Formats: sequence, C-alpha cells, structure tokens
Amino acid sequence: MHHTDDAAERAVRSFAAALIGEIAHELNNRLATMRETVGLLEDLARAGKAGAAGTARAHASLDAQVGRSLNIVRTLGGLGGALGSTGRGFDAGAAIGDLLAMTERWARRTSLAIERDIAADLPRAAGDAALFLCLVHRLIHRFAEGRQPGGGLALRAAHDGTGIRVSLALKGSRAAPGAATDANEHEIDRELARRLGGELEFGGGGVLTIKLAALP
Amino acid sequence: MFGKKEIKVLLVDDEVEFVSTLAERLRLRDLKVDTVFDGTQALAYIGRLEPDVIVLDLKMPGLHGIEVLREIKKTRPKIQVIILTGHGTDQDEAEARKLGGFDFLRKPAEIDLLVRKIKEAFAEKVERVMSAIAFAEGGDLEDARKILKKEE
Repeated sequence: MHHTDDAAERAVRSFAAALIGEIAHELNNRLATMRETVGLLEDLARAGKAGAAGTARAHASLDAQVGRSLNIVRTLGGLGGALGSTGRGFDAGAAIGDLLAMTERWARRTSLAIERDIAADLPRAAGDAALFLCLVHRLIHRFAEGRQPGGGLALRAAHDGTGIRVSLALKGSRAAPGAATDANEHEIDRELARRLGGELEFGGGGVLTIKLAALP
Repeated sequence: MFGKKEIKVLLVDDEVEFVSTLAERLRLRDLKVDTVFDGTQALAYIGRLEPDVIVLDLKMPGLHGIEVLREIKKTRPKIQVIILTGHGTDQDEAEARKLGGFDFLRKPAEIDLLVRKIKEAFAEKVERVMSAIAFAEGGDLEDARKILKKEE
C-alpha cells in the first residue's frame, strides 16, 4: 500500500514537472519568435530596407505571438484556479480544456489527434483537481503510446445523473491502451482515482472511464 | 579566408514563424539559408543537398532532434550541426556533444552569437576536410575517415 501511495505522489510531481516544462517551452518559443521579429525590424531599418509591407508583416507576426502568449497565460490562470480549489471541487470540463491547451504542442509532435466532446452542463466535480489532471494526463500519454500508427483519441465528459463520467477511447486503432504498460502503472492510476473519491473503469474496446462524484 | 564561398545553412524547426524570421535575418548577414520544419524533412533534404551547417531544434513532430543528429552524423558526417533549442536539458546537451554536435545553444540566442557559431562550425568543417584530403592523398584512408567522422 505504501508503495502505491509513494508512486501516486511521484506521479503527481512528475505530471506537474511535465506540465511546467510544456508551458515553459511554449512560452519560450513565443518570446524567441518575438525577439527575432523585433531583431528583423532593426536589421531592415539598419539596412535601409524597412518597406511598408515588411514592417506590416512583422507587426502582424508580433501581434499573433502576443495573442498566443496571452492565451497561454489565461490557460495557466485557469489551471492555477482549478489546482487551488481544494475542498471546493472543480470544473472538470474547463480543467480538461486547459490541460489539452497546454499539451497541444506535445499532441502535435506525437501526431495524436484528440477529439473532444465535453458536455456544457457538467456539475462541479468533487475531489482534487491536481489528481484529476494528473490522471487524465497519464491516460492520454498511455493512449498515445499504445495506439497503432494513425490512431487518435476521443475524450468525452458527460453528466450521468449522479456524477461525471470522463471517458477516453481509441479511434482508428484496435490496440488496447497501454497494452505494454506494467500492472504497477495501472495500480497508480487506480490509486489516483481512489484519492479523487472516484473510480477508474477499464472497459472493453479500449475505453477507460473515470467516474467522478459531483458536488451536491 | 574562404574566398567567396557562401556558407550554406539549413534551419530545422517546427516553429514556422520563428524559423522564417531567423532565416531572413541570417540572409541579411550573407548566409545562404534554407528551412525545413521537422526531422524527416531535414533528412530528406540532406539526401539531395549538402548544407555546410545545420541549425537544429530538438523537440519537433516525429523524429526528436537527437535522433536527427545521430542520423546526420552517420550518413553525412561532414555536415556541422548546431543545436538551437528552447528546452534542452543538460542530458540532451551531453548527448548532442557526444554524437558530434558542434555546439548547443538555447533559444533565443543573440543573432551575432549564432552567426559566429555558424562561421566557426564552417571553418572547422573546412579545416577537417582539408586535413582529410591531405591524409587521403598520403594513402592513409582510415585516418582520413576518422577525421571526417570526428573520431579520436
């Protein structure tokens, strides 16, 4: 039991590190692009080549990079709010949306298409958002590793009357998610779900469902 | 020192806006620059053309930059590779240097520093090729091969 407890804590820390790494990478890319664009404007001015078209293009690029940076900051704010809401439950749909936004580049790098269907009327979920996000993050990575080439992932969240069901299913691939993953990893997933006050269901056809309790 | 030889640079990065802007800045500094957006495209490019220096990102769709570097050094060891990454770890840096990467820079790098590194990489390549030719002309093909592959 202690072994699984420690492993679950390590999993949460490792998730936090991965997420921070992704955010740092993404923001750094935006800033690096802005820096090059400002540098290009200086270069063109110095070379006497600062035509109206080039300048307008550079300004449009800067504007786009600033917009993307602001989106990252807003998403980060959303995740921070969810992670800090211990005891008050969390909005599972918004948390999934923010998590997917933060892992978008990773999904693109690994060519994983994620189709999402998040119900708009979800009640507030009970439990700790950090555990939930860590669990979803782990499962998405598990699907990415277990799929056949070209396989995608469908992520759905719905209200089932008493609680919230978040399901992950393979698309275009019949490989079982995490077929190569050892039993310890599954145990850690179950432990995270248990700490959330929920349950993890390994269904047939490569479908995993996280069952969360809703706040009254 | 190199007459009018134009240094040919290939930039490999999936950040299209970043790489296009950087390419334009390098061209303003008289370098001949092409761009590709992932490792597979980079390997296809060097199958057709031989740049003097490749400036290579690490985190890209498909092949990781370290794998691309490994393949370049296996198939076209004369090409110099500078890693330019926003998120490289110390372990990545050690691995890149072990594989024969010329240098390891972090984004954003000062343009003057990058240009200097590109020129140094090119100079080292020329020096190595000249030495290899001298060894080959003396009949020592094994040493010539080792020089090109940067082996001890």
